[in-house]
Amino acid sequence: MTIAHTITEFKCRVCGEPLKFDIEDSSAFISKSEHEDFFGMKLTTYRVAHDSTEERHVNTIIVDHAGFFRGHRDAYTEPLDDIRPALDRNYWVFHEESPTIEKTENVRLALLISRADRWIVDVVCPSNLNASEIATLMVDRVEEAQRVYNTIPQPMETRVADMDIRAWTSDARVLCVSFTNGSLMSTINSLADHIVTENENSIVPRRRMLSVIFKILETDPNLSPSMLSRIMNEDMLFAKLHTPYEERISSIVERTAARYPIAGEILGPLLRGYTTLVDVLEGNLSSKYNDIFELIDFVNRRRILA
Amino acid sequence: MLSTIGAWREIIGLLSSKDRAKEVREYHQALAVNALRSEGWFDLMRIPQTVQDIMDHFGYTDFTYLMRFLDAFVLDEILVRENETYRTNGLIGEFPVNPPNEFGTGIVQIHTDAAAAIPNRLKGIYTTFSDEMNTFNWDDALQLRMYEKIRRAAFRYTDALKRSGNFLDIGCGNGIETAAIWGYFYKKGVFDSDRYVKIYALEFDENLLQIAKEEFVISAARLLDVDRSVIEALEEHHPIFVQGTAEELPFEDEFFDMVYTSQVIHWCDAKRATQDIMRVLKSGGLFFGTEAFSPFLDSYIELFIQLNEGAYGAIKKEDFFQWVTEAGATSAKSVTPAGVFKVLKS
Repeated sequence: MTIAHTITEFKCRVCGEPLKFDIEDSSAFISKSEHEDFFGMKLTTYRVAHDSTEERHVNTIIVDHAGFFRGHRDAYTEPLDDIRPALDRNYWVFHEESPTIEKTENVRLALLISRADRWIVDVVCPSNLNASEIATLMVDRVEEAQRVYNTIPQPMETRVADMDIRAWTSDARVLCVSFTNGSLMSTINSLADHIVTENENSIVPRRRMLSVIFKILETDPNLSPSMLSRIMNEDMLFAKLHTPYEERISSIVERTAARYPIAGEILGPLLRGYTTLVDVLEGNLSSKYNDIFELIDFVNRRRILA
Repeated sequence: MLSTIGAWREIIGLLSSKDRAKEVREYHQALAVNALRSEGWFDLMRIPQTVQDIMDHFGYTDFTYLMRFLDAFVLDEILVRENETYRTNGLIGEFPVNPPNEFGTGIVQIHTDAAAAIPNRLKGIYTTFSDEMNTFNWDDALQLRMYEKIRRAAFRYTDALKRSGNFLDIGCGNGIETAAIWGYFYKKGVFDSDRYVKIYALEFDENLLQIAKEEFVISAARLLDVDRSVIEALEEHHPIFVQGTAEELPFEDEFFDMVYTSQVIHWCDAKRATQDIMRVLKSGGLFFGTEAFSPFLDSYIELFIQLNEGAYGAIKKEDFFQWVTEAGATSAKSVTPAGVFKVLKS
């Protein structure tokens, strides 16, 4: 039996400092969101911050029903003196463990820019480009277009340096994409609205999920808006799983693989907590995202971690 | 007569062998003995103990359930009953556990977990279909070929596939059976014709019902070996999945033309369930399925079934026939050890 406790301990992903906070104390975290059952576990996402000398480290973590830390969704830093440098026009590039994609076959540049919170997620960005400068220029162009047009075109087409860029906008965000060819244009056009409006109130972008989405699009341009929305929103994909039936994992994997062959590759490491679903999606199985999500649903409905 | 032969053909080789029945009994006996050995039963009973002593020592509260284990162990000469006391018949070691060949991993794990739950049940704590890994294991177990065989036997024994109207599948579990029944009607071309057949599937357990509902298309496509889009295109004919109990069916009187149950009634309050099934059945309607009537349901399996709250256990065929007759049946018949039955309402 697991005894629920209210003090959750974890290590800051930015500096490695051990941290603890009381999940019952609303002043101990910035925000909290609860989720559906996931594989039988009740999971909650907390955003927790602590300050070091010159900066604030913000960790977004997954906590289970018993108060145990289950994984990081993301972590980032903010300058302590001026978190929202609205006047100096700089944008801070949101860094995380997952690397920026240098270039893909169909996309040369993909940036998601927060106009309000002044961050950039450089999903696809060659290392020789200055993402912050591009963001500054793009937001200027968007504001210019908003003065010129009653309704801003979606996408708005513009040129920055030698790149033709298309920009989709909401009040809070701008998605800028430069294509190498036209093959993904219509797909991204159909998904862009979700990307710029999804979780608009969240100040933290889902960088890893955007990377996963662009990776999937390279092999399957038919990614549906509902699947995109799911990938963008499933915080539980970052959770490390634990089953009380360790000795039965091989049997669970074998029986599940009889119906979903991909279980043979990924379910064992998932149930043993060696990997997370986002790790799987970032890896070389991203093109099998449909199979992976069907497997997740299949196992989740059977509540093997309950 | 032909329908009876058809039913037997499906069942032969599945349940009729005496060796197989012995194998099944020994398997469940071993699980029960080992569970209660771990509890300390046989250490305590090296010295003769009264039932009250046993209840007090282990904190048991269910006298009737305890007596049934004691009776079974006395019958199998594991215990000796003398002067209203019980003692071990020699040293009781760990019994070898050999699952029958036709049992898959899912059903073996269900029984292993059930055996571990016996001590709690003796203290009045019941299990459910969703406990621990039960949802996963039941879902797996219900795919077993033996369930398919007894289902086919039930349909061969009746003219259900020639009938029309509202059809109720009680205790649909993970929906694999509902998908199979839907497939039988699909293969008869019912959903492309003027015949009206609407299947309703009832399940009490929320987790299993969710699987049944959300995976109907997947299950039907797999069973029929067709693309999912074929099943999706027939959405208006898909079953309606409903949560509820067999004892209090959430349907109006005489709503159904056919009611089907397979190995379900022993999990319920059998008399109340049978009566309520007859209530929702139309005049001239067919109630059919399978039920492991006493004595074909092994007494150890019955004890495992009774780990679940409200489970009746083995039903005497005569009792069942009496209940349906009192509720308006004009005809009630049963064949094969799997208890394939059909009841017609006047």
